[in-house]
Amino acid sequence: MNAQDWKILLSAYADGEVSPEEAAQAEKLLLERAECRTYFEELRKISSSLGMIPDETLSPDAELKVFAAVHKEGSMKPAYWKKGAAVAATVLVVVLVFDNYARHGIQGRLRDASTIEMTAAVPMKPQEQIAFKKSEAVDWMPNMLSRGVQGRLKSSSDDIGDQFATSSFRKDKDVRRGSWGSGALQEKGNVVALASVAGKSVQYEPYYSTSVVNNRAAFADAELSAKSMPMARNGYGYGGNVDGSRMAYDRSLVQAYSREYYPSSQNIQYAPGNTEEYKRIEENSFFDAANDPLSTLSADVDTASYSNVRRFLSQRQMPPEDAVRIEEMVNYFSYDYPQPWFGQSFSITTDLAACPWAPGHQLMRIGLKGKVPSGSSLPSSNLVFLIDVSGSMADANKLPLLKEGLKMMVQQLRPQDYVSIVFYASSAHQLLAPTTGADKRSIIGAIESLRAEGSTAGGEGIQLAYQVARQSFIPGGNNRVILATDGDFNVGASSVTELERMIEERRRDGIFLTVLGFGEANLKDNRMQALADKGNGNYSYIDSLQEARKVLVSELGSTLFTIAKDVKIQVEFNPALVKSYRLIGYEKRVMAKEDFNNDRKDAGEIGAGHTVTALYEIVPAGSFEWPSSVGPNVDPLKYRQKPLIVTRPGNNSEIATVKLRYKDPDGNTSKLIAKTVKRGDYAPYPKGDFAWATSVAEFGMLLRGSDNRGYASYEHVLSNARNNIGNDPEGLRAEFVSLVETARSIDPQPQRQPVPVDDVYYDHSQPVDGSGQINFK
Amino acid sequence: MMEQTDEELWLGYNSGDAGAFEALFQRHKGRIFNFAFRLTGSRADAEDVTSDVFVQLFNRKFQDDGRAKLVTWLFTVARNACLSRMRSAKHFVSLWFKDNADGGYKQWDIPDDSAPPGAELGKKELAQVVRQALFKLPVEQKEALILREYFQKDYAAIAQILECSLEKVKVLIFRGRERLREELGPMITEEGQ
Repeated sequence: MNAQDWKILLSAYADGEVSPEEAAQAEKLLLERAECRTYFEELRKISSSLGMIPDETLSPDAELKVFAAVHKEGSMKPAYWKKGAAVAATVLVVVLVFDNYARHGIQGRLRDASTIEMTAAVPMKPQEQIAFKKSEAVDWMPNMLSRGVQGRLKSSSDDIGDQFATSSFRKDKDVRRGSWGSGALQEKGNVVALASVAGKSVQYEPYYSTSVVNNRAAFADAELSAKSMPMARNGYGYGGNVDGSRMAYDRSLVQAYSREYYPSSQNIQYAPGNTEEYKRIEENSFFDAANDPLSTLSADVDTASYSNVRRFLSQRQMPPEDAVRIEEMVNYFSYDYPQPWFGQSFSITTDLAACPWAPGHQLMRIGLKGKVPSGSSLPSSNLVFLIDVSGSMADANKLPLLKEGLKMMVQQLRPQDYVSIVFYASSAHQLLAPTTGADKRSIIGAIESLRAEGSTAGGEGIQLAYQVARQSFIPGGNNRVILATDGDFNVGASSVTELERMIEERRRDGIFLTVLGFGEANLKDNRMQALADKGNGNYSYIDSLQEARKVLVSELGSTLFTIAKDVKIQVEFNPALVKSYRLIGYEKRVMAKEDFNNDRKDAGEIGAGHTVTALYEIVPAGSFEWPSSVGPNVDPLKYRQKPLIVTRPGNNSEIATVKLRYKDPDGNTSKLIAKTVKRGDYAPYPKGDFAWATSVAEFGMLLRGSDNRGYASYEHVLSNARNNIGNDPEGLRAEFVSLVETARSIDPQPQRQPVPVDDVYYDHSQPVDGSGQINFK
Repeated sequence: MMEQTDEELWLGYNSGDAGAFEALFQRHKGRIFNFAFRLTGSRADAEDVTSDVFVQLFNRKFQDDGRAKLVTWLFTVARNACLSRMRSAKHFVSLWFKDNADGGYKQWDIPDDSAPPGAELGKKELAQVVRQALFKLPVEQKEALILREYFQKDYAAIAQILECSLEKVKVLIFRGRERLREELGPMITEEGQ
C-alpha cells in the first residue's frame, strides 16, 4: 500500500467513516508503523488547530437584519393567523407608505413582531377603503405610542397583504407629490385612509423611535406641515435602506407625543421621510469681551451643508435646522481675497461694517486665502478612490453621478499622479492597482466597470483603502483616500469608534481623507463629517453634475492639495471698544483658548487656493446692551477692573487682533501670523463680497430660525444678494438667489417675527468722533 | 417546552405556527452563519447568506420528502449562496494585489501589524494563521473540511450537500488536510500550540 493510500485510509478512519474491514486494516497500520502513528497524530493536531478559530455569532445588528429581511421578503402567509379568529371581529389596518422623498415621515426599523388584535369602532366590509376623520385615526395612535414605539400594522392575509405589501410601496417622485401608487393610503388634509380586513389578526411591527424633530416653526402654526413629524432613529446604526413608512396625522398629537416622550431634544435630528442623520447644533451666543476676550476656532472648509440645503430646497422642502451650518454656506462661495505674499501660506483680510439685521451691531469679517502653489511645485499625488458600490448607490444621483465626476477629475491628472481604486459592497476589493495619471484609459475603464449591488461593508472598505494608500505611499507627496458614499456603512456603533481610531492613526502617517457624499434619504451627514474631521480632510456633498465639476474639476486643486493643516484662528477682542461678540456658525469648530497654542490639537485643513471666511457679530462698547455676564438681573461685579475706556477712540484704536496658526502639510510645528482690526476699518455698509457673505449668513439664520436673527428677513436677504452678485461666472450666486426665493415661498412662516435687539441707545457721555455708528433711541 | 425535532417544527410551521419558524431560526442561525463565514471569510457576506437561507426557509422552499433532512437542506442552500457570491466577486479581485493571502477577502478583525518579528505568536496570531491557511484552500476542499471539522457531518451528509459522491468527499477531506499540513507546518509536525 503506498503512502497516499494509507493516508486516505487513516483520514477516513479518523472520521469513523470506514467499513469494519478497513478499520481493522487501519488499526494494524497504526500498530506496526511509526510513520502512520505520526501522521495520525498530525491529523489530530490539524483538527485541534482548526478548533482555534472560534465560533462567531451573528451580531444583534445582523440578526435583526436577517430577521427583517425574512419578514420583508417572505410573504405574510397564514402562519400568523391566530387560530380560531373571531368571526365578527373586524380589524383596521393602518397602512403607511414609504416615501423616499416624503415630506412627512416616520422611519423605523423592524425590531420584533408581536401579534395584536384590534377591533374597529365601526364594523366594516372587508377590503373596503374608508377615510376616517383624523380624530378617529388619532385614537389608534396612543395605543401604539403608549408603548413608546411607533409601528405599522400589516394584514396577515394574502389578499390584503399583497395590496399593502412593502414591495408595492413606491419610492418615486410621484409619491412625493401626493399620488399613492399602491393606493393603500390616501390622505386628504389631515385624514388617514384605512382599509379593513374582516376576521384576521394583524401583526404589529414596532419601530423604535427615540428622537424627535424639535422644530419651532413646525409647531408654530396649526396646519400640518412637513416638519412636524416625529422621527425615529436607527438605534442600531443599521445600514441599508430601511423599510420606512409615512404617517400623516394631527399635529396636536405630534406635539403631545413629543412632549411626553421626548421632553428635551435629542442629539440627532432627522430629515423628514428618511433616515438621514444630522448632529444637533447649539448656536453660539454672545460673549462678554471683558470676561472672555478670546475666541478660538478651527478653520475648516467643508461645504457639504450648502449643497445639501440646496438639495432640499430644489425639491421644495425646507431643510432640517441642523443640516444648516452657516459657516459652510458662507464658505461655499469663493471670495476675492488677495493672494498671499510670496513665501507665505496665507493672507488674512479683515473688514468691519454695520450689521444688516441688528441695528447698532457690527459685523467683523475675517478672510483667509490659501496660497496656490505653481503647478510644477505641486507634489505627486497618491490617490485611492474608495467607492461604495452597495445596492443603495444604484440611484441615478449616486453611483452614476459619481462615475461622471471621477472621470472628469481623472482628466486633470498628471503623469506623476497615481490613482488606485478600491470598492466595497458586501466585501471590499481593490479594483485598480496604482496607475499613473498618464494612463487615463485604464483608470476610466476601471471606473466605468463599477456596478452597484450588495450590502455595505464600509469598515472593510476603509481599512483596505488605507492599506492600499500605505503600500503606495509617496513620501512628500499628496497621499489621500477619497471616499465616495451615500453614507451607509453597515457597521455597529463600536466598530465606528474602531474605524475612527484607525483613521486617526493613518492621519498621523500622512494620509488625508476627502469624503464625498451622495444621494439622499440615507445621508449620514454627521458620520461623514466626523470621518473627514478625524482623517484630516474635507467633506463635500455632491448633488449634481455641476457640483461634481466644482469639487472635482474647478476646485480640484483645493480639494486635493492641502497647503496647511491644523489651521486655527484666535481672535482677541478689545473690551474697551467691544462689549460683546458672537461667532456666526462654526459651532462645531469652536476650540478652547488653550488649544490655540497647543500643536497637538488637531484642527482644519486648507486646500490650495481655498478661502475661509468667519463672521463675528459685535456689540460695540458704549451701547447699552447687556453683555451676557452682566445684566439687569445680575449683580454688578465687585472685583473686576473696569475696562479702560478710551476717551477718544481714534481710527487706530484696535477693535481686535486676529491670530492664525497653521502647520505645513508635512510639518509638526505651527507657524503664527497676525493682523489687527482697527476702528478705522469700519465702513457703514458691507459691500461686494462682504455683503454677499452677510446675505448668505442671514439666509442661514432664517433657515435655522435663529434667535439671533434680529430683523433678518427674506426680502432683506434678497435685496442684499441681488445687489451684490458681482462676478458670477458659474452662476452659483444667481442660484443662491433663486434658492432664497424658493425658501421664501415654501417657508410656512416667511414673515418671521423679528427678535428685537435690546433697546440700544447711545451713551452720550462717551465721546465719539464720527465713527458712523447708528444713533438709536 | 419539550424539545421538538426539526421535522416536527417544520410541520408546525406549515400548519401556521409562527413560533415554529422562530424556533428553527434560533436553532440553526448560528450554524448557518458560521458555515458561511468560514467559507466566504467575510462577515458581511455571511450575514447576507444567512438571511437568504432563512428567507427561503420562510417561503417554504424546503420540501420535506425524506430526501434530505432540514438541516442538510439549510447547509445546501447556504453553500450555494456562498458559492455564487464568491464566484461573482472573483473577477473583481485584482491580480495586482500582491497581498492576496486571503483570496482578496478581508476579515473583520483589524490586522495587528505591530507585533515585532520573531516574537512568540500569541493565540490570536495563531488563530489568524490557521484562519488564513483554511481560507487558502481550494473551495471544494474547504467546504468539505468545514462541514466535517466544524459541523461534524458524516461523509454521507457532506456528499449530499456538495452534491458529489462519497468517495470524492473522502478524497477532498484528505487533500484538504494535506494542504493544511503543509501550510501550518511547524504547528503540526512539532509540538503544536
